[in-house]
Amino acid sequence: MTKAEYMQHLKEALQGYDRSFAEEILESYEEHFADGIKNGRTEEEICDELGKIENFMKDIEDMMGDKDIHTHEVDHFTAIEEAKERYSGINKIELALVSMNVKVRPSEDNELHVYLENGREKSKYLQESISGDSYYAREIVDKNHKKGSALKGLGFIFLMGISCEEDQTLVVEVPSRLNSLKIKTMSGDLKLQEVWSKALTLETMSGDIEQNKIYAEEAILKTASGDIQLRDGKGKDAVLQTTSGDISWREGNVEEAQITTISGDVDFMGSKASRLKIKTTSGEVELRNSEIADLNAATTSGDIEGTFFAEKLSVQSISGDIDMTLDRRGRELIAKTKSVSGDCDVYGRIHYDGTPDPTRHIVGYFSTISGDIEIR
Amino acid sequence: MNTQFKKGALELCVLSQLKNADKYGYELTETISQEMELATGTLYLILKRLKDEDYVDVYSVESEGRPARKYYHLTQKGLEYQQALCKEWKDFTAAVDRLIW
Repeated sequence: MTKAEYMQHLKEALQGYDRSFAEEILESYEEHFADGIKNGRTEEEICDELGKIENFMKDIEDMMGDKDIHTHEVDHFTAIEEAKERYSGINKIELALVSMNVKVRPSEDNELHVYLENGREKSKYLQESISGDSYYAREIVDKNHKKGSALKGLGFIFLMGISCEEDQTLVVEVPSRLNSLKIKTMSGDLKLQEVWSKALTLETMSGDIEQNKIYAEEAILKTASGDIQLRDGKGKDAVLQTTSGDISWREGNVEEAQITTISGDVDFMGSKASRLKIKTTSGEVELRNSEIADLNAATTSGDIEGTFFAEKLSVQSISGDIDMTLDRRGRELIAKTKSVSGDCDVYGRIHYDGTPDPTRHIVGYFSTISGDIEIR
Repeated sequence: MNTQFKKGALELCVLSQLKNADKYGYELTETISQEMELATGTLYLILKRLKDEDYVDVYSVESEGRPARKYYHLTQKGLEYQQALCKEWKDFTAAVDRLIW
């Protein structure tokens, strides 16, 4: 990881915290990087030494848990004194979690239910609040709540051993129609099954996102190292982003989608899109049996390949290969190609002076610097 | 490692390192991470904690050609806390030593 990426992640991770606290940490880290580089370290070494950001976030709760360092986003919510299992009339849900896994699925009585899968009392792990039709919950990480001398708890070290609690899974059963569902977690996995939400935002650092049968008008799905897997996802507008995680979208149907990864692979299979934009740095892109009206795919060093139908395509790679079999449905391909040092092999018409007719033509623009192009 | 234990032990290490001389972040984290394996980021949280409790003071030193550097200085209160922690630590490890033989 570069310094810029690390600092960006850290900044995002610190968003829920008091600004002066976050700024102080970021400043110390900036200084640490500057001194480290002066001492001949690489950015990557310094990132490694500083440690994983998700561990750091846990440390914050552990070390600073008895201090008030959170921003007070809960203020306009009424804290729930009694931990209930069921809430009526909710259509906006927001969860701010650290290590908990989440399963979201439809509820039987069309009300919101929130509980821990292992049957434990959730109030120890979750701070919940409600305001009108909105439900908000935050994971409590520091369960010790010990103050005073820091060493008093010393004797417990042997009892606790390596204090590594098993990950909890939070089950959230939701009404059949939601206005918004927002879940943020550091390391937890998110699994959604049959959810309908007008707006959907899911963010994790290292956790995976898995969805099955989801409808969202506007969906934003982000992970750093976690994978994103969608099956039968439908929607109008979707933004999917990972750093190193892979993205796989099967049997989906979307009007406009933007998929971005750095090193993660992208896999779009058996899906339909009106406009699809894919961008990776080194990740591979694969499109199979999909129907895309307007495709824009670009990579730096990844390969782009597939067998699919598209009406209009723009495919670019710097050093990766482009290898596609286009399902033409009786239409003719009019291709423009550009390759500096790679081979270029296109089955279709290269020179065409007239205006392409969308009912009769597929229009494609393919370019690489050093990769090969092969279009069948 | 148990959180309270780790917090206490790291506080003690940081405070002790500042006993003889003021140090800046990188210098301090380098010294400690050479002796024990840990994410240096954690030490910045410890420093922040110690600062909030007035056990250490922070001051900036400007220098040409690079951004200002923050130096950490042990306060009187911090020195007393260090001595208390140090005694607790020694009593505790002495007890462990007696028990594990």
